[in-house]
Amino acid sequence: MANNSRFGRRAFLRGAGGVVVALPFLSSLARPARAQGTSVFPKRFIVFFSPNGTVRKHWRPFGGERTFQLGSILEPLEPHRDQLLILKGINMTTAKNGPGDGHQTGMGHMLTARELLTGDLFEGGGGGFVGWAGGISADQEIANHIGQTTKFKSLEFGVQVHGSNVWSRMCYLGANQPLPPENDPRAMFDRVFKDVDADPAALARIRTRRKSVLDMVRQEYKALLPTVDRFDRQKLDQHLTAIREVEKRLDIETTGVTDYCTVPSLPPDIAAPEPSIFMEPERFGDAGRAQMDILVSSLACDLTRVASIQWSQSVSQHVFRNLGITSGHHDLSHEPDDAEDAQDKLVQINRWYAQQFAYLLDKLSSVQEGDGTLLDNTVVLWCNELGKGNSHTRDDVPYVLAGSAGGYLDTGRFLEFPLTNHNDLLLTLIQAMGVPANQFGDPIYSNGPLTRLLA
Amino acid sequence: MRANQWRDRSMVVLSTLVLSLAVSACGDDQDGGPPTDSAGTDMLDVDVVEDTAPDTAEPAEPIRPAHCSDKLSPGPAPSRRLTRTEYNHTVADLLGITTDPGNRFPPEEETLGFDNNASSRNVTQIHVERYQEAAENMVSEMLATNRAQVLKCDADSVGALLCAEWTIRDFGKLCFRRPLTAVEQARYWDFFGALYAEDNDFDRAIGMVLEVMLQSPQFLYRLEVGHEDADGDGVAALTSFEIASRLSYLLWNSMPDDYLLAAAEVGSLDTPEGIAVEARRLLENPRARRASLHFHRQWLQVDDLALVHKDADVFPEYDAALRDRMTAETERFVTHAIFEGTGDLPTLLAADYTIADATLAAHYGVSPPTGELDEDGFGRVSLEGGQRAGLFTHGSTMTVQSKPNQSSPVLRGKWVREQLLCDHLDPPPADVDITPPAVEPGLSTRERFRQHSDDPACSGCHNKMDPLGFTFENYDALGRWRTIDEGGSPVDPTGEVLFTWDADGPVDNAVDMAQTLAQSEQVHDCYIKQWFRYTHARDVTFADECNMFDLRKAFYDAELDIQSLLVALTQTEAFRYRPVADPDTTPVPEEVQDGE
Repeated sequence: MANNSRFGRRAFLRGAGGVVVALPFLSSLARPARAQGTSVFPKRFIVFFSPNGTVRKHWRPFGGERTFQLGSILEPLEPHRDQLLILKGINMTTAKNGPGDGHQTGMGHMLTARELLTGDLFEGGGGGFVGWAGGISADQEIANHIGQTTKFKSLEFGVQVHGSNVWSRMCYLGANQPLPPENDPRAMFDRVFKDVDADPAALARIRTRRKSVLDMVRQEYKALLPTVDRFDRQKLDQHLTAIREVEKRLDIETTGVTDYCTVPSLPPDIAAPEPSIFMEPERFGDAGRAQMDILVSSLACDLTRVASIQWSQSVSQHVFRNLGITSGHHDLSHEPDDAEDAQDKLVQINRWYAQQFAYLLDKLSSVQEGDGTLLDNTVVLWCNELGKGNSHTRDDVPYVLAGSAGGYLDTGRFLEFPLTNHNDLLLTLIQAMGVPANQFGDPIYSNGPLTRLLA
Repeated sequence: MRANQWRDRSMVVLSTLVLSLAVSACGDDQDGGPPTDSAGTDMLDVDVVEDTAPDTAEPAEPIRPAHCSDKLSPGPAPSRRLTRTEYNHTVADLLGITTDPGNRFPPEEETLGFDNNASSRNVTQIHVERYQEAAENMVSEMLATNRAQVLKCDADSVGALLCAEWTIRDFGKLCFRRPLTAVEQARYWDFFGALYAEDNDFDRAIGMVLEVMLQSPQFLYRLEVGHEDADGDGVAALTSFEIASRLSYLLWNSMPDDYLLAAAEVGSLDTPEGIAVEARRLLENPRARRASLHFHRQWLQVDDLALVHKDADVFPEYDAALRDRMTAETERFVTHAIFEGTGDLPTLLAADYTIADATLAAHYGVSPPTGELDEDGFGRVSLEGGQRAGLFTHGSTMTVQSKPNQSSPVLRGKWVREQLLCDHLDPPPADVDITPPAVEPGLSTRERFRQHSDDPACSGCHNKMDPLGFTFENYDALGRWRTIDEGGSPVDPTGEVLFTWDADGPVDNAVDMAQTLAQSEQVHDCYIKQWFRYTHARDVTFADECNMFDLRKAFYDAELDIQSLLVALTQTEAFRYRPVADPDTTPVPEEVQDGE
């Protein structure tokens, strides 16, 4: 990755119709040591989501806590086994409560660990309708603390996420405020890297202009608030808050390309504006890998410290033709345990997701940070909205962590937990990022951090 | 006549509403009699109405509930942010930019089947970034290539300040869909002046003004204030410019044109009659067809076709070209039925023709189109053989409402139940295996799904779906006609309509069901309800009782003519009035940067 040439990136920008400023790069200064704590490198948090549950028999490792042998699904993670925490027995207990069907509660509780709103927005289970999630998601809680000094508070990557509803959103700014992921790698690339290495004088002019325009715009929203009713105020206030976030970050300088920070090059056809192929089912993996390349670079360049990558959505019907499978994932996930052919396919699908997870870990490991790597300073949470698809259980959800968050977690282990709520897993990760918190999500289900995970 | 029975129905519905209010009022009233007594009496009244209502030729004229005249009742009127579709059409009309820049915005949150529900939509940082990006790109493109579209003057000849003033006034009126207030004009002019004073760069300064306007809440939202509430009843008539936007976004998905703004300016939209005249004019414009399609595609769930996957082993012929043909059929048929054909809902639902090309006709096994063909080879295809009827049997619908390898009586029945009858169905209990039973030679579809009717845990819900869905068994998972099902058994397309207001009874097949439901008041009512949700970006509420009454009456008076329903939607209190905002005056938190 460190070998990506400037030429490649310039060519990409031209091809993508972006603004090309043919001026020298910013000088490659060393990364400013903004981080707190022992490491000069900041801690990062990543969420990696794959849908529709797993096949437990083949997900579960064999053997002991440190002597485990990976099963067929997680086998692709073998090169990173020392960086893993494989967690069995953690339940999304909160997701047995409140409105919503199995996938809805699984998806909406996954990172918020509290009940969905009893809104009238979507058809749900339990005899009625359901709203968005009822609180902030863990990634955003973390971003509120560690994402204030970076260009982006957080970045939400999507890979062919379809729909815009409670089945397809996992990140929330707060109750009733879903955060949409971006499916388009090119749009994400432009968003993240357009200012890196831009000509400082040109950049300064653009910033001055934007500040001036946004300031006017912000005043208009602000002036409206006291004149409208509560409903409109809530919506316009969200808009105003988002404007403030954008405005606040206009001033944040990006470091430019350094030893650590390089700008990825995307496959030309994925990056091409026309025809846009990133939503074509056959390019699922390519689109995802392009997104992960951007994700890793955005962390390496310290443009953000919190990111998520969401593959498809709950109830995903993605067809893995590349694996010789012709049925939709969700349809397969409903097949009973004794339907061997379907279970074999589900193992293949989940193994494929493990390969993508391994790709992400490879990339994170390839970025040197001092004596360690970017992965060492990160914790990646691989989560799923269900334990297994055919029962829709939200118990014993297949969680994998990777990276020690700068030595905070004791990795390289397989741990089984009795009756443990996922609130506490999320709480542990929040604390791992240095965020002060004693509980997370619905306090009834939050009993304290999982100390067994700690170094 | 069936079409007149709605009057009895609406009486029951209204009485029940009033009843529930009466009961709760009694419950709060310490001195009142037991609520059950009061309820019982009211119930009796309802029964009398039903029992004595003649079902012969001369039904009683429906009576608008008395309380409808007591007080205006517009229902909630949330502010609405332009959808991506509305944004694209608006910048095309405003700026001549036809590249659909809104497609880069995050997708709308979908609620109740539509993309515009005000309650579910949210703004995040990425929205603001994309609005900013779109405004910057559009303004720089306009100033470089199409100045006359936004600048009606030449700064060099009339002077920068005067040209800016005119631009702010004239472009601002189009952008905000109403004249700017004096305060707004002054504010933008001051902004321009300060920028221009820095470097005498007219384009930079006016460009920044335009960027602000294109990110302003006055452009991105439809904010309504209404006239002053002179009589203090908490309800305000919308201003004529607000009405103009309501009309154009409902009927065109876009901003008002010059004529509509002029009509607003001279007060033509201050009366229901004036609004109706403009509504009819808008319906004659081709833009009305795309707006109608935007509604119908969402209502019928045809947009989902793009995501529908079929098992390639079972349906190797399923490809993008077939999908495109199916979509084209539904779009052309809907447009034809509403704008070129008889225009009534029963025809839309159960017509004995469709609009297809020869390839799709062959797919269906019907004769190719006859008469005039359009540029894509689509024309009128007769369905008089009795195998197909209206929207019900379109390939798009049958394909979406199927499984990858087989038909689905459950999905098809659910589609009828929810989209056409407006019934709500709960999803299956969480821990039930809902895999459709595998195709088995010798077992008919009906037999494979027998558990749904035999098992009481299933039958409660599935009796609302499966007996409707079985009638579609003559159509495979690609909408092709068949008489032998997946399992090799002869198709038995008989079914039963159950749990409806007025259409219950056995049906012979899907065509029979389509014809039955096309005459059902519950279906007519549902169609009105779907349009109401879409028109107002919200669900129907109790406050809409009189609005719904007025729409029913207008729709039946017009013999279920759809364009008349669209005009009627512009005549209701919900369309012409809004509740006076009860401002939340909590001070807005200050931030350091505000002091700059």
